[in-house]
Amino acid sequence: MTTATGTAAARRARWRYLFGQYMGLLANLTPPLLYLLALFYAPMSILLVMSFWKSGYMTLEPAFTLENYITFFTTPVYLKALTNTFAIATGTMLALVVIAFPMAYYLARLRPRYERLILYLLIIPVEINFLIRIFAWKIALGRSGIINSALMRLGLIHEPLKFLLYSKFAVALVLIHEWLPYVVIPLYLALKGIAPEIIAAARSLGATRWDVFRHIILPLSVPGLFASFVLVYIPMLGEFAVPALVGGPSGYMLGNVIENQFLSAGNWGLGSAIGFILLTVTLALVAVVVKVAGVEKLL
Amino acid sequence: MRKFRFALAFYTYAVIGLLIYLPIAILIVFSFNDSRVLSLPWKGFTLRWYRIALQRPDLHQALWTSLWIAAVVTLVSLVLGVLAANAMARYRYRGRLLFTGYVALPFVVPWLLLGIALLLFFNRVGMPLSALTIILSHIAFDVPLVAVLVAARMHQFDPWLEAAARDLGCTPWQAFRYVTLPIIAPAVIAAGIFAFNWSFDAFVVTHFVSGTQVTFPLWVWSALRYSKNLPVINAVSSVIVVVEMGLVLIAEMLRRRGDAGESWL
Repeated sequence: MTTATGTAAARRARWRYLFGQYMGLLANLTPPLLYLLALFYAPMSILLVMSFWKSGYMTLEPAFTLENYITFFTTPVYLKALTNTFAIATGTMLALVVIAFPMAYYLARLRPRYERLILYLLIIPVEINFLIRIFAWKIALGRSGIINSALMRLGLIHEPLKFLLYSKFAVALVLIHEWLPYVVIPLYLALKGIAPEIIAAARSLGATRWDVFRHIILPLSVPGLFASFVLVYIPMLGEFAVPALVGGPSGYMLGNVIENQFLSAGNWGLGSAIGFILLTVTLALVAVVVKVAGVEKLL
Repeated sequence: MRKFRFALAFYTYAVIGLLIYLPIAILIVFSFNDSRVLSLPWKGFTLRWYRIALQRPDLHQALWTSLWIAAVVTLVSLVLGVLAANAMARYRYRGRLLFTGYVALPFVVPWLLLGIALLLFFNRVGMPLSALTIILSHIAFDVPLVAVLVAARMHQFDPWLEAAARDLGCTPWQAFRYVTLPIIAPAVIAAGIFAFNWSFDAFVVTHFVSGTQVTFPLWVWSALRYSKNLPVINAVSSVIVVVEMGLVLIAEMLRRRGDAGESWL
């Protein structure tokens, strides 16, 4: 009797609690859900749909066509930009990993005080306006820029080095500047997880330093490599400000083609198609990394 | 071993110095050079470029536009972002991971694509490009940022603290206001500073959705491409560099106090 009403009351209280939780969840979840639906997912869907619309200079008709995709894959300039994009992004990514690895290794074995100092040194510039940092490189690299004028005054060169600015080299250099912290830090976090005892044990069992690197450090740094790949390689594929400002004709990337279609050439359908190709490649790469590395390791 | 470590240390500081700080240092130093050409030799110290920069009305307008847009964007993003973080970290339900992915997806889409997609969207719904479209667009990438930063902090605190507060008679709002909020406050403030910075510095997305509005990054962009007055940009940039470095230092210190020195990403 009393137990029965007791359980009924308890059940009611439990329902009330669950109902409260449910309403609380809805109240928290709905506004951001709707906002992103309207201003992220809807626009991305429109991008996809319009890439199949018939499109010309400043015109866009809702008639299904594959023309935009065909145009992209049959125009040499666009294909050149595509290969250029992957060449620059891949080359820069490799250079970044090679440059960053010793830094991350050093950082992971450092006393906390210095460790923190270097991390601050790496993180702070990231938040400086990016255009300003590109501009800083332009001042340094230009034909009569600081590096050229300094080298000439020192008598090391007689002609300004032309490859410094408006070249693939300049794009890669500025991209390395931009993304280095995003490669060092995930690698550092991965390397920090390696217990020093493991390395000591391997050494005492007769492993050379190279063996240790090859069989312990390198395999255990793989999650960091995946994380930096997602953080760095993917945004580099969509880069357009850097090539536009320091790339010149030889550093032309897919991002410049897309920007051009939207803001100068006025062919939005073609621009959408190229954008969608880029998006597909991007999401495919993310999916591969998530599949191989697992989501938990990336977060 | 000793030598090896020394070489590593030297290498690390050299790379940071040359690849990250050298151009920024050159930028600041040459903003005081008394010459129209940004080149050696050094022509003497001047504050001329700063004086000229102070008198440019178009620059003032651009800075002001960026500031108030970033302020509005930050406020709205904090509200929506904290709500999203609540739903990501403080409730257990099926679909929680799905929602987390839903909120985080904008992170892996290049900003260029977000920019053109928003341009198409505003065009389709017949919304003229203006400060409003800039604000709406910036919120779209700031909400995921705030949500991820705040959720990371929420994951670290004991959910039973809030349950205990409820048990002791708090309303859900009181429990949030007096228990949860003080704990997540450092993360929220830090997220606010980062969100402000992202909006203030946003170039790529703004480039496509701004119409005739000129924000500060857009001013820099057009100045870089068309202006003959590079030393002035140089002076303005130096000021911005110093201010932004200061802001980030504050944000990082707040975030670290909140995290007790654990996570860096």
